[in-house]
Amino acid sequence: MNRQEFQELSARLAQQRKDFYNTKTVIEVVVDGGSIISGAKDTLAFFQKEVESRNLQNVKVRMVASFGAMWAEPTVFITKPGQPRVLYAHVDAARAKDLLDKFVQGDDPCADWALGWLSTDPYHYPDFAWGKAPDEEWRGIPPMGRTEWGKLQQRISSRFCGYIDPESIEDFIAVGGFKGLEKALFDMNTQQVIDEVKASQLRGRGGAGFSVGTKWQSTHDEKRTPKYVVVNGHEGEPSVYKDRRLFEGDPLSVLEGLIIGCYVAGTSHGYIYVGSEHPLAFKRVGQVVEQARKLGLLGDNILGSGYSCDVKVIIAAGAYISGEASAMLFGIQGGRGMPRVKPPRSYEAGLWAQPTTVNNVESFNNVPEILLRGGAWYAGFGSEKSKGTKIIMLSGPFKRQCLAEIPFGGPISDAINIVGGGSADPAHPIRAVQTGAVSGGSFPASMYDTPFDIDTFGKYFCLLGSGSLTAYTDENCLVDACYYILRYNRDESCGKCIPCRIGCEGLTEMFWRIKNGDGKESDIPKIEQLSDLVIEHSICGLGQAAPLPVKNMMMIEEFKKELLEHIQAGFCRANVCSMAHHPTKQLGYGSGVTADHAYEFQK
Amino acid sequence: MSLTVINSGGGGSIELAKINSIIDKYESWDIKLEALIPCLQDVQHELGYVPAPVAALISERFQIPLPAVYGVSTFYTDFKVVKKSEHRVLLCEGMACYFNGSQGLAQFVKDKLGIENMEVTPDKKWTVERANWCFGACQGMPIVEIDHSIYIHVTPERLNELIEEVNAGKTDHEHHSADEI
Repeated sequence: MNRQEFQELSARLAQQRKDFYNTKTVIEVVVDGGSIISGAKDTLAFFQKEVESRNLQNVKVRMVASFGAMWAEPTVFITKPGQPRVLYAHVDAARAKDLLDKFVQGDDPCADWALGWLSTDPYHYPDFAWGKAPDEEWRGIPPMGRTEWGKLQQRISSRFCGYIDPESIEDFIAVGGFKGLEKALFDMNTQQVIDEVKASQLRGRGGAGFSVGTKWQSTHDEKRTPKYVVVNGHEGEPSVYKDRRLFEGDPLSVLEGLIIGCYVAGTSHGYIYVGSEHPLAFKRVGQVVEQARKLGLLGDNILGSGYSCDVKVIIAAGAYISGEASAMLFGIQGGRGMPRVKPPRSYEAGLWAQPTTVNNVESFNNVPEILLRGGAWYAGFGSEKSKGTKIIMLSGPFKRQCLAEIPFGGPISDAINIVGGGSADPAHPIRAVQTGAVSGGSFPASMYDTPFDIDTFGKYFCLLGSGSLTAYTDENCLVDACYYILRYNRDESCGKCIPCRIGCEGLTEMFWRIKNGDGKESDIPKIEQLSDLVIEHSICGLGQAAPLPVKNMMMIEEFKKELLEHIQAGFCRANVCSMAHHPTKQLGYGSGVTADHAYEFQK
Repeated sequence: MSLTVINSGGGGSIELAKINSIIDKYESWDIKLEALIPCLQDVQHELGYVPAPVAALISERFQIPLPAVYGVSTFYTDFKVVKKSEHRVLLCEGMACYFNGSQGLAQFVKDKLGIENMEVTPDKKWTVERANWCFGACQGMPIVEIDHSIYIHVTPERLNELIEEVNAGKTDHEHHSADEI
């Protein structure tokens, strides 16, 4: 396929998609890892069976994925010809039957079950911001941009998630897929692509937040060949599921970004490394890579440009630490995934000791759109130093556990109270929110006005990291949380460097003692000292981030008070820690005892 | 080849043809080291563990030193080098699950089966592990996986039922396979 044929195909498929929505009633079930657990496959099978047995010629059932409304899974979009695309919540078999009877075959849109409506075309929203579209209520159903969940969302990275069938390359091309690649190959040279990415000020979305443009430039400037480009999709953290959702919902944008990355680095070797915890993501990525090869979008002489590229999809084998860039490269080489001392950086000596670009899934996903609309457009969103938008994952006792995408720069209360809707149970408000899953501290409710921004988070020993936010209510104990994170990092430490291997163990043990009422005040300087030591001397991000919640706890008064209550008064206000060994063991939350009582008693 | 069955070392035997067909799939990979982990994944999936004779076979076929194969198969959490038990309870200990029920489930397993993380019951029937990752379905917290079937909103009572069902040999209950997500 050459360029002209591609353009014709693209136009033809776009028209086909338009006609499809204009002539058929389309039922789209959101089928991704999260919704399958909630029963999406049963819903899909039910719709398929019913549509066939009722002989509804004009109704088509298909799947989309990763829309992100996880609290409402299984979710289903129903679009009637010429009408908006309505998202329905909690569609089990009973509700599916009602929807078929009332809406598909009847004319009642069942507004009670609808979450909101969207257009069939993601480009319908200016800059992908749902809130910006001049949408009005449709038969009692609000547009997504007017709902609490949707009004802040600006979906650039997850632009096609929920819009296309993730297992069909045709659908991806129909919404404008591979146009970024086409532009890069024919209208830009490699330096122009890098300059555009630099202008976007896109920062790595895996956690470290290093400039993507700078990284690409470094690999580009290296003279040694062969070079490699790797998508790091090894996402082993708890409460983090954005990479797998992107793979499940829109794997082709990642692939497109990767091919552009390979073109820039001047190599024809790309790798996609997928975590083994995500079998569906692995399957879908494998499928689309195969389809892309068949269409000539991968392989020799892509679109007749003379540039050749092929991509290998490699599965990981667990172990959180092998998601660290250098460890991951050892993993691809069939070795143990243990990080190494840097420098040399990956761009100097990465895979097979050759120059390598390693970026996160979300970083690659953004690149095609940046090329199409320009770096300046992307840099127009976000805060001063963190540009663009970020996928966030809300988990824990939020009203809406979800995957969403919001611009950087707003207060974190936006994410907690507007996107997440606050606490699921108003009796237990969200008193703190954990950032960056297991590598970072938390923010108490008094600091919810802190801007959502990579650098600001760093000041409080929090990591924006992968964008995960986990809620703590008064039923959760911050000391327990700290213990959990330290224990996790202890378990997942590869053991290569001593500060991390022994330091995490030491910290975990100290917190275990505190939880059981054996804490001493002399532990506090020890904890602080050991944390500093681990941060300073560990060679990789795991050790450097593991004690962050401790540092964060020491820094924020409220949290430190909670720790002191445990040590001094044997009081766990959430009544989570056993405190079994404390001489003046006190009951916690719900018993009517407060910290003051506990201190009194001690005297 | 005259030998068709190899002794697994831990009781039972393994069909050599099956293992060879797995290794054959990676014959076309130009760099054999890159094929090591995917191949071990297939073996783990097929047998539930990576027996020593299979590791030796892979080492020979791929021309990778045996210690390197052992190194990989003991490092990653996905690979097991011994068959620990017949059934496995996997408790999701992602953050949301840990704070919203998973601790109670761990305690329940300890009370019921007498085992803690990574331990095996004396009759080699059960083991309990914690999943140090995320199932990506925090709406269903806490999540439990029993022998590759996933259950959501599990309470200690429900876990008791599930364990009893498995003990009674009942496996036809509604579930979602861990391989689908």
